[in-house]
Amino acid sequence: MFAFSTHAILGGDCATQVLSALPQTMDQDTRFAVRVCLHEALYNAALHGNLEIDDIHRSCITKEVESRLNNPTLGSRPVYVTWELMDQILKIVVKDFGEKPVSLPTEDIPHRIHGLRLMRQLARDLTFDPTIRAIKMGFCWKEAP
Amino acid sequence: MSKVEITTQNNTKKITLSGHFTAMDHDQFRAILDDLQSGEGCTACAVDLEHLEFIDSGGLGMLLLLRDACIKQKLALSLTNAKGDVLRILDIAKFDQLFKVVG
Repeated sequence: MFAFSTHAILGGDCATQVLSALPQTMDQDTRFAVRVCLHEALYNAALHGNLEIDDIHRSCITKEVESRLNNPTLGSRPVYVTWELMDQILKIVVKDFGEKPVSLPTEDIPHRIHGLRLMRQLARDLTFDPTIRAIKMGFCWKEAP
Repeated sequence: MSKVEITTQNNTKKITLSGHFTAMDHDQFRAILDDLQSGEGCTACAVDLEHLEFIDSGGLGMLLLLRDACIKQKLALSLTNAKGDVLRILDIAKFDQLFKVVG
């Protein structure tokens, strides 16, 4: 399991850190899908989960993030990532520790749900469990030739 | 975060992105959009993606904001030199239907 700080997610490349822990035999298409989906899930968990950033903050998101990262309660929340490879399916769970109710967006809102669109096209399956604040992603595992 | 540079050449605003272009670049990119509105005499805007390593949904959203601004300013917009993962993400997002994508 990985435990990332919100600050580390927004300031670094945590998706690549997780990728480096997975079996390195995966093919390039699988690696690409996992990297993109992990990045989106981590950013969602950090921004909208832990820091509770809403659409109303979109016009000044960078300043709002900096302010909330300095908030002892919001800024100290971690994001957990777990993974499991079984029967050629890679399952990844990304869990945040925010307290504001969240759900996957269902409306076609410009500038907002491109992350979800990307993830739905790249992952085999994608679900969000609001009770444990976790996004669960499944990928078909293919070995590199 | 991404490094964002803007220059003007031959009536074209050239925006060069490098590194990782994500939601955290939003405020920086907003300044670019403001600069675009002062681009008197320009007829086109080209976004050079040659040195961009990664773009996420936040970055895609900002390119859509740029598209809106260019339509308003009557500037012809193009995305140039995208490659690797960035080109794949643009393809998945079907940005070729919204932008002129030049190799």
